[in-house]
Amino acid sequence: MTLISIDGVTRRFGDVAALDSVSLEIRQGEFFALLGPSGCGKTTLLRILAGFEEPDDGAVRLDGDDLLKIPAHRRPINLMFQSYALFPHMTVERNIAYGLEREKLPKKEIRERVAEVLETVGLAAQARRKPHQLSGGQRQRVALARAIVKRPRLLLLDEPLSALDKKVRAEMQLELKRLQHEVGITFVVVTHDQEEAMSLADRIAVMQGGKVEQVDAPVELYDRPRTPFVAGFIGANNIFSGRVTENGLDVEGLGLLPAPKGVDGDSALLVVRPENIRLTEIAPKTTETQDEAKDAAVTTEEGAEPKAEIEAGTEAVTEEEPKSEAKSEEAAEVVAEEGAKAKEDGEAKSEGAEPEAKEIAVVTEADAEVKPKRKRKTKSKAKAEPEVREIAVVTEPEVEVKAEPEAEVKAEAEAEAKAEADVKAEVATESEVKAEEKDATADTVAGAEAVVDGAAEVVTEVAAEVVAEENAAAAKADRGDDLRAAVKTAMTGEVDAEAMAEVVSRAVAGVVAKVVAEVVAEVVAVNESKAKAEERRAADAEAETPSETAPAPLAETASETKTETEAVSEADPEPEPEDGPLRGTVVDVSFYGGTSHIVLRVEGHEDHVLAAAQGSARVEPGTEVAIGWDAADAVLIPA
Amino acid sequence: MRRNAKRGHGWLQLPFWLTYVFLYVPIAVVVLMSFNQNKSAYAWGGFSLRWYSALIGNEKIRDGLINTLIVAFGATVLSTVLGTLLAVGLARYNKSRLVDALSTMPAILPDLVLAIGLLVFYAAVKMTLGLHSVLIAHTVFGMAFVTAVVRARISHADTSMEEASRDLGATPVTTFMRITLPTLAPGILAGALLAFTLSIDEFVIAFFTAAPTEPTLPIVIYSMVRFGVSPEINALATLLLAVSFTVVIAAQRMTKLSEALS
Repeated sequence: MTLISIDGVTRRFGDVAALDSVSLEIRQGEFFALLGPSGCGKTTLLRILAGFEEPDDGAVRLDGDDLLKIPAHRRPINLMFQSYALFPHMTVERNIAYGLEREKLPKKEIRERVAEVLETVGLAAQARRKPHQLSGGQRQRVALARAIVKRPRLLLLDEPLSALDKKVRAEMQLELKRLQHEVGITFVVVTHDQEEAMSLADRIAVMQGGKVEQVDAPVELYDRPRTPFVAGFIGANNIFSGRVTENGLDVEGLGLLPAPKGVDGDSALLVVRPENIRLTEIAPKTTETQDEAKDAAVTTEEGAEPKAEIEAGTEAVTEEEPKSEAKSEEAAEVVAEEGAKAKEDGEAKSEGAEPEAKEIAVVTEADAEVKPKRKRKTKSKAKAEPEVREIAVVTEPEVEVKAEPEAEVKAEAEAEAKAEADVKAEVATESEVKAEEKDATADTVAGAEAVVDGAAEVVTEVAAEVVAEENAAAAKADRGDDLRAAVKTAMTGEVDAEAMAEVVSRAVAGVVAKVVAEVVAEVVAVNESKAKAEERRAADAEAETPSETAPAPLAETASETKTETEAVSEADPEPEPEDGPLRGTVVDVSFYGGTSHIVLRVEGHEDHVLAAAQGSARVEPGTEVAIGWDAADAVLIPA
Repeated sequence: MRRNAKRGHGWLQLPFWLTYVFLYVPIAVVVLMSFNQNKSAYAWGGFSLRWYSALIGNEKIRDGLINTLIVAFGATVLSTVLGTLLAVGLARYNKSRLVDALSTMPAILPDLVLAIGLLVFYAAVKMTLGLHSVLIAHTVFGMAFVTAVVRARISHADTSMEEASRDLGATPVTTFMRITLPTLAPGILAGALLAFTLSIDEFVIAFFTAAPTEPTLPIVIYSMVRFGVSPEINALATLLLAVSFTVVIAAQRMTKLSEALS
C-alpha cells in the first residue's frame, strides 16, 4: 500500500537542479532509505516531505491527498533533524511534550504518552535533564522520542546516526529497527552511508545528481545494480568495461571475461563483487617435473614469453587439484570424472568415473631438438549426463622430435580407452555432461590418441575430458590411425553444423592464423552420435587435436607461447574450468571484519582488482594468481 | 632563562600597562576624590562620605535622576522589543547586506548628527519637547544596539530548532514565542542592558531633545559643573560608575552564558 507518492518532483536552486523530476513510492509501514552522496538532493526531498521546502514542479501525495497544500505544522509527518534540534531551554520531558501540547491534548494524556515514550527509548531516568547534560546517543534518543510521540504517519530521519561514534551507532541502528517495528510507523531515512542504509532499510532509493538511480531492496541493489553509479556506490566493486559477446565480456587488454548473458555487441560494464572473486595460485604442484619444465608450464600459462626450454626427454606428469572453494563447488557439480593415463609405451587406459571431481593434468613432452615450443589449450564443453563437461586440452608440441620420444600419458577415463603413444600428455579434465544430448563424440579421445600416435612428430600436452564409453570405443577404433585419418573419419560422421562451425570459429579465433589453418585442416572434428539409453547419456565432446607438420611451426611458434581455444557446444555460460581468465599479482592483503581483503594488480586493467575471502587468506603480496569468477555471480550493466 | 624571558616580556608589556593606566587614572581620581573631606575638589583632606550625603539631599540631582531613570527604562523596553523584531526580521527576510549594515547605523553615527536630526524632525511634526521626546530619541539609538547584539546571536543559532517546532505542530507565532524568543533571550537581555546603560548617561541627544523644565541627570550635572567641579559631582560620578560597571559585567556574563548554551 502506497503511503507517499512522489511524482515528478523538481526543485531548482538557481541553475542547479537539486531534484530533477524525482518519482518515488513509499509504502505503508516500510523502512525506506534515500541514499546518495552529499548534494544528490536527498535532503531537499526530505525537506519537501516535511514541508520546509516547496518543489518547483511535481506532486507529493499522502494517501492520495495533495500534501503540498498542507503547511509543515499540520502535516502528519515528523522529522528527526540531523542536529537533533532539541530545545536547549527545555528539559527532556518538555522537549518531548512540546509536540503533544501543540495538539492541545489533555495534560494527563500528555504526561502518560511522554512517560511511555521515555520508557521506549530508555531515557526515563533522564527526563528532567536539559539537552546539554546528555550524551550524543541520549540526545538522539530524545530527538527520536520527540518525533515518534506524535505518532506520525511518516517519520523522516535526516542522517540519524552521523553524529554518533561507531559503537553507539551500531546500537542505535538496532534501536531504530526495533522502534520502527514496535511503533509501526513508516520511516524514511536520509543517509550518505551505504552501510547504514543497507542495514536499516527495507528498500533503498539510490540518488545522484537530483535523480533516482535505482529503488530496490538492499540485497537487490547489492546483487543487481542497474546503473554504473549504483554498482560503484554500493560496496566496493570490480568494474570492467567492454563489449558483450556470446561467451562473456570482451574487454580490451584483458580478453574474454565470464559474464552473464547480454545483448551481443553492446558495450557494457561488468561488475564483480570482491567476495565472488576466486583466486588460484598459479604455480602448480608438480611431481616428477624438473624445474625447467615447471617454469615453462607457468610462464606459458601466463601467456608470457617462454622462459624455459624443455629438454628432450623430460617427463613431467602434473596433477592439479582444485584449489579454491569455488572450484571445489564447481567440481562437485561434475559427477563423472575421468582421468586418462597413458603409459610410456603408448597405451592409455581409461578407468571408470569416480563420483568426485578431479582434475588431472598430464603433461606430455617428447624429446625435441627444437627449442621453440607452442602450447595450445583447448577447452571444450561436452554434454552428456546431467552435467556439462569441460575439456581442456593443452598441447605443447615440439617439432622435429626424435623418432622415438619418451612419453607418458596418464589418463583416467570413464571409458576404457587405450592409446598408443610415444608421448607424454597432460590431460586435465573437468566435465559436465548434459542429459539432453545423447551424442557422444569420440573425437576427444580419438584426437588425443591420434596425437599420441602422431607423436613421432609432435609433442603434445593434453588436458582432456573423458568421454563416454562409446568414445572410448571410437578411440580404440581410431587407435593407430594417422591423425589426419582420424580427423577425416570423425568428420565423415554425422556432424552438427552449428557445433562444427563453433569449434572452427573458436579455433580460428584462438590460434595464430597459420597454425589454425593447419589445425582446422587436420584436426578439428566434431561428431555426434547417439548414446544407448541404459548407458550413460553420451557426451558431446568436441575435441581439437592440434598437430603440426614438422617444418612449419619452427619459425612461427617461436613467437607464440600460448593459444587458448574454447569450444562450447552449448551456449551455457559455465565458469572457467580451473583458474580464471585473468592473471594478476597480489599487491596487498589486509584482514579485518573477519574477512581478508586482497588487492590485486592486473596487467592491462587500470584499477586494482579487489578480492575478499572469509577468514585469513594465506596469500603473500607478490604472489601470482589466476583470477576468476562465475559468470552467474557477475552483473552486466549496459553502458 | 626563564627570568630573562619574563623580563623580555615585561618590556613588551610596558606600552600595554601605560595605556591601561592612561585609561583608568581619571576614573581612579574621581573615585578617590569623591571620598575627599576637603571642600576643594583638587586637594586631598582626608576620608569622608559627606559628599554622598550631600548628594542625596540635592533635589536637583534627585529630580534629574528620576527623569533619567524614566527615560532609561522606557527607552530600554521600547528599543529591546523593536530591536529584537528588527533583528529577527533582518535574519529571516532580508538578504541585502546594505540593509543589514544600515540597521545598526544609529549606533555608530555621531550623537550630534542624531540629536540635530531628531530635533529638526520633532519641530517638523510639531511635537512638544519633554521626557517623551528624550525617550523616543534614546529608543532610536538603543534599538540600533539591541539589533546588533540580537542579530549576532541569531546568526549563531540553530535554525533547525524553529523548523523542529513547526514540524511538531507549532504555528509560526507559537514557534516565535516558545522557541525563537527563549533561544535569543541571552542576546536580547544583553542588548537591553546595553541600551539601559547608554541611556542613563547619554548627554548630547538628551540635551537637544529635552525640555528645560525636565532635565535628565547628565544635563543637571553639566549645569552644576559649569560653576566649578564640586566634590558632590565626584560622588555622583562614582555612583554612576558603579551602576555602569555592574550592568556591563552582567551583560557580558549573560552573553557568555548564552554562548555556552548554544
